[in-house]
Amino acid sequence: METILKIEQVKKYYGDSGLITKALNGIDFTVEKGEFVAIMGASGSGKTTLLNCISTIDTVTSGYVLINQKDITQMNEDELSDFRRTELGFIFQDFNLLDTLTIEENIALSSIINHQNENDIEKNVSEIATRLGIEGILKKFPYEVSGGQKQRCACARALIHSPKLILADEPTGALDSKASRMLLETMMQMNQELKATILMVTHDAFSASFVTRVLFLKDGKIFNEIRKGEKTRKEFFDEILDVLTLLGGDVDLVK
Amino acid sequence: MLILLNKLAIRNVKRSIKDYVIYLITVTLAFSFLFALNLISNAKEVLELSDIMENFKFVMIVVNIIFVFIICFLINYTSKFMFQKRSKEFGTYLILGIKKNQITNLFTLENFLLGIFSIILSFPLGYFISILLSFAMMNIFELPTLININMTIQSVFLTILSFSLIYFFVLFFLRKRMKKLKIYDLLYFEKQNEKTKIPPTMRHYGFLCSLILGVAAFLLFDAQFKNVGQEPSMAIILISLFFIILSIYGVTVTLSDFLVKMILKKKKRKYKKDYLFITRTFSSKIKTMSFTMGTLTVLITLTLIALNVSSLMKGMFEYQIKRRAPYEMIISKTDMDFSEHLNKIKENYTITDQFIYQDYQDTNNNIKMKIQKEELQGWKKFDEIIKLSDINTLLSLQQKETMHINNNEFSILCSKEMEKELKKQEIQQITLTNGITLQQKEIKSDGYFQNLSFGLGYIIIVPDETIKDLPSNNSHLILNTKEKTTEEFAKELLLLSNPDFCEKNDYGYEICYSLANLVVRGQEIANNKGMLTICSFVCFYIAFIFISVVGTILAIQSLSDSTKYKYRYTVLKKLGVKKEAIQKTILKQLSLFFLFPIIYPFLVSFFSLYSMNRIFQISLETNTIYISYFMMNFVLFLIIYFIYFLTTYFGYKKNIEE
Repeated sequence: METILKIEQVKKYYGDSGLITKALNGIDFTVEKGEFVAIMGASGSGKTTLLNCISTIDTVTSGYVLINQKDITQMNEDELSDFRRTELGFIFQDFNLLDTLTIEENIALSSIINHQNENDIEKNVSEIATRLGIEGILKKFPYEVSGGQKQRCACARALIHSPKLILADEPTGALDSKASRMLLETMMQMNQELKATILMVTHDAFSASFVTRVLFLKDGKIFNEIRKGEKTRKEFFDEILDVLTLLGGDVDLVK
Repeated sequence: MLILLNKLAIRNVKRSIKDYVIYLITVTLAFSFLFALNLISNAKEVLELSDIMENFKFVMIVVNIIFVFIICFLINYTSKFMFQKRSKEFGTYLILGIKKNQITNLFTLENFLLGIFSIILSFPLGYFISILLSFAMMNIFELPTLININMTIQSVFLTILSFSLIYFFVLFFLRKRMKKLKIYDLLYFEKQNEKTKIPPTMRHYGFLCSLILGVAAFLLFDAQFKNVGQEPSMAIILISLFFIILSIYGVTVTLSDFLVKMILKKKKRKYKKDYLFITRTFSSKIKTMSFTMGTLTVLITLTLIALNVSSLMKGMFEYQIKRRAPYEMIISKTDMDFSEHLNKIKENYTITDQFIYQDYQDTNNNIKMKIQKEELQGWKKFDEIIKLSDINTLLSLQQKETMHINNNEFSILCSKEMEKELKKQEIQQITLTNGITLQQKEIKSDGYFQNLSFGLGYIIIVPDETIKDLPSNNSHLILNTKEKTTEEFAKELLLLSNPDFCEKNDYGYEICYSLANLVVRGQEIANNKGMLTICSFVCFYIAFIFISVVGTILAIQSLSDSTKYKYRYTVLKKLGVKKEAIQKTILKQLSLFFLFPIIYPFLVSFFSLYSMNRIFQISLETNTIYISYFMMNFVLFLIIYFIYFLTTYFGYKKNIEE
């Protein structure tokens, strides 16, 4: 298997000499190509910090983050920009769509930046939109569509340039349960049909039950790891709940 | 790629024009004022108003430079505000892999486009404002005709030059700021906590120190205006001004902590009504924008001071005119026949008041002998006397209180300088040439005008019956007309007049004094307008600009807060606070926010005016008129300020309720 993401002894400390918060305290793990991995943990366990460090939004205090065999901790700002543009896709809790662009333009933006042929872009956008079921709203602006549609638009935007790794930060956080379910099914479909590698942060066991592997964080360290394997989604869900009970903290057990 | 970014920039400007309205209005107004200022200071007719206008041009250049600085601050502030508003969008760009440089270019381009748009708009608007200003100038300073403002290449060029300079600096700082930011800061900008930069102990003592510094600065300033004869030192005035500004910043930075401590110390007060919410919101607001608040406070201080100085200058000008020409026309002759003049005047004007009186000579020189100050000794050889009934008619024509004296009394009406001198002397009793002895009742300056005793500076008022056997001196025709008199008409009248009053001096030369026998108000105004009028106008104009800047910043700040901190009100609502109660809270909060920066300026402007009045009062109508100037200016300021407040309040309410 091809390793897409390799995390080695990553540490992230906040604060100065007086009071240090160890948000990440030596984390190691890898993500293989085609995996759909969830990171779970209570509030303050370091989930989002870890994702931010992987997504180059934040920097690590020490350790290495290798994506597609490239160490992002050693890159300068311009290289990071190029890297984000070609290798990474993002899905945020609050969508982060541009209000001034239509849904279609939002999806196409990164392709345009990547200098793709205009006809190709149009073809790709409509293909992805059809797959994700948002072909009807392409001409609308983000404020004219529902939260679920916005998030699927964000998925399309993250997918369009076929990135090596898609990073999702609580993607269902702002959605109702029906829209959440639809989104998670979409993401599963992205993973299975389009072979997208996805790393998702969530504190919600229901969301986590859609993935192939769950990593549990506690106090900045990896506490446990479980795989779905051949289990049904219901069985996997129950297993996640068991680990969460062990984990303690203020995790939402059931959505 | 560049094409895309340009397209995106233009598109963003077009689509987010609603967000940018405040920005556009601010920038457009700022440049309109600048252009209007350039138009007026370069208008040929303004420069021809008087010889001193060369100085005026210099003053205008200085004002222009100050103004450019202020606009720089204002635009810098607004662009920072726009940047904050769009931080998330820029973060998203970065996430999508657009390089920071390109984003910086994009935002720079956007700002530049908006600037260009604003400056194009500001040319017609500025022209319009300049016409309004010339109307204001005409009315405030009673100029006979409207100043003709022409679009000059020079003023357009100056405005464009200022624009380039301002944008160069604003964009330079903007780029510098953007270079420093990281994606994380951009994406999570809204979630960042408000930081305080000053350690608590310093804040604690800082408040007291700042207050002490302010008092010291005032004492220093006040010492410069202690004595009339002493020339105030410009250097020391500037130093005290600097201290005041320092003190204002100090107080603004430290007050919020002081307030929080005072209000929240007692539990009873802390949990009363919405005190806790308001105090916390307010103090956190001031803490994060203490520098901006300080700047606003300084600007308001300068606004009020400028308004006060403007009033002082205008008051001096008006008093000057009142002293020289309290009536539309005063014609003096040795005989009583004014028919020729009256016919001429009736051809051109509608007479509303007409009065003829005589003055009398007293060669005993009771008063003249007592004057010691050399500069106060007039060239007339004898004391002049007016009957009580005549002076009372003159006074009532000026809407002044009439005088009362008993049969054995006299009063002296004189200029302010003379009043001080005469009060020092012992003039209890005088004996006229007809042998009548009178006791002094009072010496006063209210209602005195120059033509009353030209060449002396004072006049003796006696009961009507005591005038008998005194030789008469001149006859005077006093006229008020419905229409305003002009300089041209004064020249026509002058042709009718007898040759000017002439006399032989001690060396046998004949000296003639012109215009002593003809005073026309229109002419006096035309002759006297000059530095005073211009300074007054410039100060007024500066004040007007400052207040617009202050109002705009406060409005932008509160309106942006209303969107940024909407969730705070949502929390209140969820906690069960009623809509009306929330509105009340907003009202209280905004009132505090708007009130806070005017407290210090109120005090500073009053005390500075109080000090300055000690020197200015001699050329003002009364010694306490400055208080009415202050009140008028403050009310004028409050009215404009209140309009900004109302607009902000309704905008805020709308944003919260949406």
